[in-house]
Amino acid sequence: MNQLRDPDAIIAAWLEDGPNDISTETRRAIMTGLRVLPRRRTGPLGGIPMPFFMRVAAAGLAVVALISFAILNLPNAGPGPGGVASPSPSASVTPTPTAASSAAVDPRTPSPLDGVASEFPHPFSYRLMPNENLVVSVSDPTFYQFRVPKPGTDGWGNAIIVRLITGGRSDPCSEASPIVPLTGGPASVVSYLRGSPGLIVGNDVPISVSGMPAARVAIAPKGPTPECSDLWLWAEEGSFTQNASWNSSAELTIVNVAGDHVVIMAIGDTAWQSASRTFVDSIRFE
Amino acid sequence: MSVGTVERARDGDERAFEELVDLHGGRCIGIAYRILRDVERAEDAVQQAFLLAWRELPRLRDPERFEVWLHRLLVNACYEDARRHRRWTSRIVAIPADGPAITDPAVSVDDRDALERAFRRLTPEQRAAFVLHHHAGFPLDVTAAIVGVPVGTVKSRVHSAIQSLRAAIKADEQIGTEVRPA
Repeated sequence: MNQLRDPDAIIAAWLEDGPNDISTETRRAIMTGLRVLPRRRTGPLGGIPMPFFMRVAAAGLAVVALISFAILNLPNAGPGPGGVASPSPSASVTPTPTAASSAAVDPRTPSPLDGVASEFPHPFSYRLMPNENLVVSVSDPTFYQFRVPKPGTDGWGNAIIVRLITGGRSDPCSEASPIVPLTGGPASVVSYLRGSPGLIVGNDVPISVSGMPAARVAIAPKGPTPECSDLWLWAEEGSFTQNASWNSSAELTIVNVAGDHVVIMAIGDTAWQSASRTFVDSIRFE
Repeated sequence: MSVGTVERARDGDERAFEELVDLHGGRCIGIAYRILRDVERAEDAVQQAFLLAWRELPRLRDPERFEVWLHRLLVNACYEDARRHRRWTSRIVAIPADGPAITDPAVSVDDRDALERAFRRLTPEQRAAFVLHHHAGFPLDVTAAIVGVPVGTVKSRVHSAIQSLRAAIKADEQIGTEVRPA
């Protein structure tokens, strides 16, 4: 028997087939991703369009103003050529010999603000951020942790990890996957991170740490999947998701020190990541 | 949609942006899936659109335009995906005999197959206009604002899409009649 068919009704019914809800994974990936994405800034002039030459002029004026300000304030600025800021009144002037010695007293006692990571393969001096009560600990000489104790618990909150890495993994989701050497400076590490399917990677910025070439980049894991339950970013022991968690984002500073990669991971919210830059800026490799 | 929520998100309030994701995410997935006909690619497009929205939101001067603006980002993300998958007209998606789990039983497997094939032959622009208007329910002028073309162009694209889909069903009927035993 022939039945009268309405093509538009069929099209409408076909068009209704399909998902209409955002999946938990996608929603989570969005919320994680926005924490590592730099936002467009409108600046003091808001979104007012300016011709290119006016932007150049405005930038030039800003540079002149900054230089003038710096010159006027230099006499009060501290030690000078070394670039390390003078200790604040609250800062301890006692140098930290190593983290191990401070840990012997009480593992959660805040470490002195000024210290030297003397056991690190490329020893460096540093200055901790004031008022953060950071505690320094050393798991092995290539892995220095600077962590904030969580009040009222035995746990730890925000952290900075400084570690020496020799390579990545061909499949960061598998601890057993072959090691991939990372040669070619900080850019090679950033490039490797960008190739990791389980990771959201922000824009990288070339910088200098202790006069050495470095790159700064924000990362966040996309989220655990059946195929990727852990992220083994580095050839060395320990996964990113064990150091942090799937919910953590981090700002990485990758420094090329005498051909080696030193990775400084600031793990925590964006405010913490920004604050940790003062620590990174204070680092001086010997 | 609350303009205040958009303003708070524009000022960097992640919680407010989360509310916007919850409010618009489902509809965005629905649109992207129907344009791209692939769940995974649709989710990628939605993710890309929202992340771009977050990055560019400080530059959105009129919060009341957020919805149109967001859907424009989404459609652009779909276009970009389409460019990456240029061979989509030649792709053949196997539909299981008993149909996918989310299908409407009112549409036969043959019809669905014919519609899918016809839809894949449309340009991304025709698909977007058709889906925004007929699935998402945006009026033609809003659809035009989203895709950034005059209303007349949108009308033409929607019309072409419908004609192609109707023709596909009719052709399928004829084939069915011809092969059906007497």
